[in-house]
Amino acid sequence: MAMLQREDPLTARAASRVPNWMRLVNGPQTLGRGSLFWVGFALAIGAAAVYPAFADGWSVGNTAYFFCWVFMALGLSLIWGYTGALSFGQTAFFGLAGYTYGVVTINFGAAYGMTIVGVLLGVGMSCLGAALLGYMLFYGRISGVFLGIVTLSTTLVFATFMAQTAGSQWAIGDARMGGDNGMTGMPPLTIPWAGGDIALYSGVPLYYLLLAMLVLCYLGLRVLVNSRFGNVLVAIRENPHRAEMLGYDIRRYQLIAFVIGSGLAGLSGVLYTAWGQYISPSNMDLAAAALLIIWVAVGGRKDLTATLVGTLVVLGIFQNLTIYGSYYAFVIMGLLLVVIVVYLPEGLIPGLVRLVSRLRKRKEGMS
Amino acid sequence: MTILRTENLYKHFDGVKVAQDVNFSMASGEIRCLIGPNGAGKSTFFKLVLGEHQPSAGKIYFSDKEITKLRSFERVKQGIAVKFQVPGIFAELSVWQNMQIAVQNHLHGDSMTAAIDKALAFVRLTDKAEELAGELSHGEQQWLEIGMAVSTEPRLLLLDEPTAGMTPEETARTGEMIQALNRQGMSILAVEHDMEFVRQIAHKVTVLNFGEIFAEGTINDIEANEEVARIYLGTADDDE
Amino acid sequence: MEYIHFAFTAFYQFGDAFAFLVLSAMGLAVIFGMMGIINLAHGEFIMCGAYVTVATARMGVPLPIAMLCGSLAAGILGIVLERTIIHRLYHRPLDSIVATWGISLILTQGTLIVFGSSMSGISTPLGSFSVGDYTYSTYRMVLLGVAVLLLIGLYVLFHHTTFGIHSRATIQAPHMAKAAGIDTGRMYSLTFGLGAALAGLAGALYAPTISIVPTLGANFLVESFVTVVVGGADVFLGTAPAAATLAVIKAFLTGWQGQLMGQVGLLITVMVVIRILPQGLSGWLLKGRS
Repeated sequence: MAMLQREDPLTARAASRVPNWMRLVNGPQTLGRGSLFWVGFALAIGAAAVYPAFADGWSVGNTAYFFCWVFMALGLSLIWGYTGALSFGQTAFFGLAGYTYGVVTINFGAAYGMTIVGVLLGVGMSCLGAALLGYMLFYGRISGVFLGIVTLSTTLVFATFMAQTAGSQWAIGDARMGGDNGMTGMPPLTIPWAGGDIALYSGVPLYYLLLAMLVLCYLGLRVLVNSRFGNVLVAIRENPHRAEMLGYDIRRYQLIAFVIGSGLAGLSGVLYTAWGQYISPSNMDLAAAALLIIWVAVGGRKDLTATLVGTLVVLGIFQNLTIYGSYYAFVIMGLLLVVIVVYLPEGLIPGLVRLVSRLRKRKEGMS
Repeated sequence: MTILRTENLYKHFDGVKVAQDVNFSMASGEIRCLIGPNGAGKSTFFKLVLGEHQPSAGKIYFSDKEITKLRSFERVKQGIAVKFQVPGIFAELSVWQNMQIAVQNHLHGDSMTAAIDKALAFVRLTDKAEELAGELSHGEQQWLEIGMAVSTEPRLLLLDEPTAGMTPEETARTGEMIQALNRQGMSILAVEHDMEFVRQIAHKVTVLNFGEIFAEGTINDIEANEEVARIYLGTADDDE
Repeated sequence: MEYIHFAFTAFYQFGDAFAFLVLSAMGLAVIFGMMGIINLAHGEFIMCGAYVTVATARMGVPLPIAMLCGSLAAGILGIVLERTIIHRLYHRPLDSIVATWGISLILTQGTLIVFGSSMSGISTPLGSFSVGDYTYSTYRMVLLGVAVLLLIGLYVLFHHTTFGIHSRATIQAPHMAKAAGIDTGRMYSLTFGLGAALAGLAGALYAPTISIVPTLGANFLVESFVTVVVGGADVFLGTAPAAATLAVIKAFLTGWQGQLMGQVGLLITVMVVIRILPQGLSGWLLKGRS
């Protein structure tokens, strides 16, 4: 990482001549910087934009499905990678938001932009839940392994609760919780339109919407983590005691990061539910929570770009493996996690970047 | 003006008294050293002043304002800075970023950048600004920490064994730094074991023993005091 | 007479909850107390114990022997994992949680592949007995006795055997233990194996009462985590009183509102306890001693 920082011309000091927002998007807490990276980034967006022209409907819908998960992964990167809080509660917020979307849209329908209200309420519920849980955790000075245990227990209890909501008495309005079978029948995202509402089932329009949301979210998070707020988060990760002794109320920063990250998990939850018109407790069980950890840990949790790329790659690998049987896919995922954690804890992508820059240095040294 | 004062400060942990009726007082602009044998309660005193421990009884005043009920980060924002014995830098961040985190709490924009550059120059780490803090030498890390602590221009600087592990040259340089800060008006309270260093910088010395203030005075008074020598060396009839 | 029946019901509920908490948490507590590692594969050691017990019992081996086999199998699995993976992570507690989770995933899904989604179980032995109008499972009372005996046995092991003394020395001051000639690496392996065997024993003991599915370990997780966190790092000063306290809460809430409420109650308790006693009960009790 030191090599990257020294080579890059856009260091924090030199950048005082560069406009504020541009410096923030390019700052010290994110790996990809400089013109080469952004050209590559533009190319990647371009490729993603023309992809539907070359791919069949199913593939486009499937890629849209992948996009749904990235928000939650980015949220965990923010909480775990940048703030240093290992939370296993993200899938609980995923589920909470998904079910909320279901309840709202089943009861009120899809017209008049109600699905958008459903999205907002779903994300809002996640943020609210995160604020409550986060307050108890961070203002209760719970950290480290204990944070992991309490959040994991919360997720498990919530998943167990939802799994036993099978009877017809378990309903909010017309929306039945469905127990183990989950909740179905909610409408997809529907944009109100003059000539007739546009229902975004899994397909090309949904793909473009999700791509746009993803790019915006990614850029927004880059600005956040490279800002003064982000500096404090990283300081808290590195040495929370020292950060406190420099005058920061670390509980507040941890809580805010937790709420934002969990809100992103909620966003994934509503988008997934809207994409497939389905949500169930299996989206909140141990295996689901483990997958999330695997995407973020394998990609590289301390960097947004690494998390984004890593999540998409691992999702792709996992899906290809499930062709041979989902159990084998999970076993490979578990092995991948163990190997990465033991041998390459910073993740594959930062590891690759380090390898490349070391090779480049050697080449420079030789010539 | 009294910069730091404690009134009847008591602290015990389930029967072990680590601070007993401590009435400490330090004037503004003073360099005070806190010495005493191991286990005398010096670090505990720091923690009480900073708010890491809550006193069992008594009050603490900073610049005549009572801070006993304030949380640690609130006390720091009043104008106290601290450098602990355990390295308190952010290892995976650059030196410049370490400074930035210290300063950005108080300043913004160009004045922030200026303050960071000034602090880096003061601790002579300007040319290492882009290096990772974790890769500095031990002495440089200590200076970075001191730089971070003083970059916020505190009124009171607390130092816990600032020269621990330093070479004699580094120790002398640290002493010069502290005196330079003091000339600019900063009050300094340092826990130290290195008597040469204490002699170099201290205006007054406080000796703690078993959580109580045992003696106070100039370094010459303390060195002439036989009782002080005895508590360090122990005698045949003391139960250890 | 009614009061006696009521008192016995309360005692039974408490005893049942206490036994479950102690047996679930014991293995995790030993490992956490020794190495500060939270082993997320704990549920899978329990599962291993249950599966081996049921498999050997179905082959005709008497149940108590089958249970010992289950425990032993889990212990061996623990030692193998410790030697290959876990020992690299002692100085990285957060990473060890994540790595053991990966192991848990491998073991659960692996079992799913090899044994299918469920296996026929064995029935609860020893039948039932009545007090007043109610019948109770004799077996669950036996488990209470086993839990108590286990606590006593572990106390003897840790305080009156060479292994126990060496292991406590390694917990408290590993560098000093090494200087005194204790093979700390072997201590860690053996202790991890012991923790795994205890978990396996829990699985073995509860095997007759639960459905034998690869994810059965998850049923024990919340209880074991909460007990270990509330108890703190010391198995005797911590796990036992924690289990007793939590058993009261759990039994009361389960009796009143059902299984789920019991778990929610545990969750709330752990959050409250961590706030007041960050080192758990044992940390608090140990401070009082010195």
